[in-house]
Parts: sequence; structure tokens; C-alpha cells
Amino acid sequence: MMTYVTNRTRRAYDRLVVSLRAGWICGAAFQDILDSSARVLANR
Amino acid sequence: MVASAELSAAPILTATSNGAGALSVTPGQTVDLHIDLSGLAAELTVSAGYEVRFSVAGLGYQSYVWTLPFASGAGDDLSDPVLASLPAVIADDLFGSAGSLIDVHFDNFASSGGVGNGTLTTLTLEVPIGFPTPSAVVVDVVPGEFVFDDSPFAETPATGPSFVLNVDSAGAVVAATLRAVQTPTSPERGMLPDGITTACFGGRVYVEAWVSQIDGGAAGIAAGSLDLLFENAVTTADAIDHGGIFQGAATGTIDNAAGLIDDLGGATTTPGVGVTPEWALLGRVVMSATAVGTATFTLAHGGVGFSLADGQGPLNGDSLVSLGQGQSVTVTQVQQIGDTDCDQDVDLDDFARFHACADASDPLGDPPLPTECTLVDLDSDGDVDRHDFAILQVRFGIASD
Repeated sequence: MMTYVTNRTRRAYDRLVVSLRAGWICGAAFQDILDSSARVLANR
Repeated sequence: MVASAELSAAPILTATSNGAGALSVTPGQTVDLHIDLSGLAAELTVSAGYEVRFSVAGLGYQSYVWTLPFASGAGDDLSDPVLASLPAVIADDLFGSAGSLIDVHFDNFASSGGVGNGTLTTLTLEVPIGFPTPSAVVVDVVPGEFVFDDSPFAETPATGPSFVLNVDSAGAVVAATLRAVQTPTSPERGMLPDGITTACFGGRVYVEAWVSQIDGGAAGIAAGSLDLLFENAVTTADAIDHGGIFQGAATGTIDNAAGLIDDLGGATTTPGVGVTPEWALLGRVVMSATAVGTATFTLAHGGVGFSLADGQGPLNGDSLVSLGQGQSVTVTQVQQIGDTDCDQDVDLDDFARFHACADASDPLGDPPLPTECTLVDLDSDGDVDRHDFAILQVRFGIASD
């Protein structure tokens, strides 16, 4: 069962999107973070 | 410069009912529970995750809606149970893990914009007939992480005071509720039938009014009447069927122009009818689905009120007669052969209608096929027979995408 109050993965992604929209990070950094996350998940 | 979460106003997440921290209801009533966010400055909520916990099980969880621009039941709404699986009974095994918290989960992300101070989500809860009285259901909101549009950091709002739902049957003597069904319910005393949520354009919908004495007495309901309101743009009332119980002094007039069945009711000399937990059929309206759309049916107090077999009455108004919530039925065109109730599959419900219609069908068309059976006449030859069954058999088990 997924516990949503501790669903930090979901929230982390949402924070990235908010940061991208607000211009706090650039698109390249956003993509880099996503790629890094995907690599981490793939190596689990 | 990025504002840190610590510099933001301290948000608070609270459960209320229209801003109130407590509400008294009777079994059969419906409650809107608002999850309100306060304490925000100018920032907007973009991402939210939280639980709503109940101190006891048993409330009916009818639906929920997120305040726009959050989507409800689609897109980024990962709430659990999801909207499509409602209604459900709130219980400790709602998530398949008995013994855990009695809770429901909310999780969403606004694809654009966000929500400021005010209601974030609204839950519609029904206090079922038979819910223990008196009782107090304590509702707590447990916030998880939120993301606001002024900060890249997640923040967990504070928790507001508990909401208390006081359930007491004092005062209410009669409960009334309606059910839209595919075929007339039999028997007409006992458990409430399950309602339908879909119907086919051109098909039949039976809207039934059910009543129960809920004050602890055992006299039973002797007479009563209710108004039934419906969408005349989507459904048309064809006839009133008083059923087999309340046949005496039967009342009820159809006003399709107003979308109203006025004073649907009758009387019985049988004692002990509809003593809780039993329900009794007061009457039903035979309706046709005449357009594609959503038909909502609701009950209202009739002009006569109710009386009991021991002479109590007339009983009328919200304090004495508790009206259940309305019901909506989505009317669509038939999408696939054999789906006679337009719920996007061909299953046992469709076979049940076939079975009922096959028994009533005359191969020579005399009498003509009843309206509710035309959707089961799968080869369109004017009867419901083994040829139609052959088609249904091939289609059985098919679900649309």
C-alpha cells in the first residue's frame, strides 16, 4: 500500500516542475536531474 | 532570490463543514466535508498530499472533488480510493489491509496555477441508515508534503483542530431514500437495492422511493408521500407504479414539464412495515431515457407527510423525515451490441435483463415487446428469444476500452 503522506518521490518531481516553471532551474538542469533519477532507479 | 519555506506564512490544513468544526446529522443524511487550507500569504498550492482519518468505520464515501485547477479523478489525481471506485464504505480495510487506520488518501498536482486559501478538496459522505446512534465521528487531517509556487522546497502544513460529526437519530422518525434501478426491485421489503449509474438512450430507468422507520419504534409506516424531482431534459416519466405495499389511497401525479412527481405515495393496513433495518418500497416511477446526458433524481418532502401504524403523524420536514441524497444516472448511446445498460461491458447484468425479457417476450409480438426489452432484442426482430441469446453469448465478457 502506498502511503501518500510520505510519498516523497511524487513530491520531489512536483517540486522540480514548480522550480522549472518559476525559472529557479533551467530546462537543461531539469532534464539532467530527471536523467540522473532514471539512472538511480535503473540501478536499484 | 528564492524565498525559503521558513519565511512563508504557516499554512494550516483543517477539516470543516462549511467552515464549522462540528455538525449534527441523522442517519440517511449526506454531509459535505471540506478540507480547507488557511494561513497562506499570496502563494498558491501546487502539489498536495494528505490523509483524512476517521475515528470509526461505517460512513459512506460517496465522492470527492478537488478545487480547480486540480483535476478530480483524472490526470495527476492519485487519490486513493480513486473517484472511479466510489462510492465505498470507509473501513479499516478500504485499502485491503485490515487493522490499519481508517483513512482515505489525497494526492494531486495542479498542471497549471494552484489554489490559495480556502477549500482544497470536498468529500461527500453519507451517514447510512443503521449507523450507531448517538455517536461522534472524529475526523482528523494529517498533512503530508505540500509544494507551493513560491518555493522549491516542500512544506508540511500544520494540522487544524479535529472535526466532529455527531450522529443522532433523535427527532428523525422516518428515513427516505431513492434508488434508480434497471428493473423493478423484488421483494419490496428488505434490503435497499444497489442503484445504477448508467443507462442507455432509449432504455428504461425505474426510480424507486424507499422508506424506513428509524426512531427505534416497531409500529411501522402506515402512509406517506414524497416528491421526486428529475431532469426532464434527459428523462421522461411514463407511469407511476405503487408496488404491492402502499396501494391504499395512492397518490402521485406526473408533471414532466416541471420535472416533478408530486406526492408519490400511498397507505397500507399492514403493521410493522419498514421498521429499521428493513426498507419498504413506497412507490416507483417508470421513466424513459430520452436524451444523452446526466439525469439527477432527488427527493423532497411531500405535501402529506408520513404517519405510523400506531397513529403518530403527520410527520414531515427535515427534523422528522430524513431524506437521503439524490442519485445521478449517465445516459449514453449504445456503444456495443449486448451492452444493454450502457456500462461499457457485456456481463451478468445484461444477461439478467435478457432473462427477464425472454420470459416476457411473445414470438408473435402480441403483446408488443416492452420498451425496457427493446435493447435486448439484439437481432431487432421484435422478440427476445434464443437467437438473441446466441448473440449475447458471443458478446459475453466483452468490455470496452
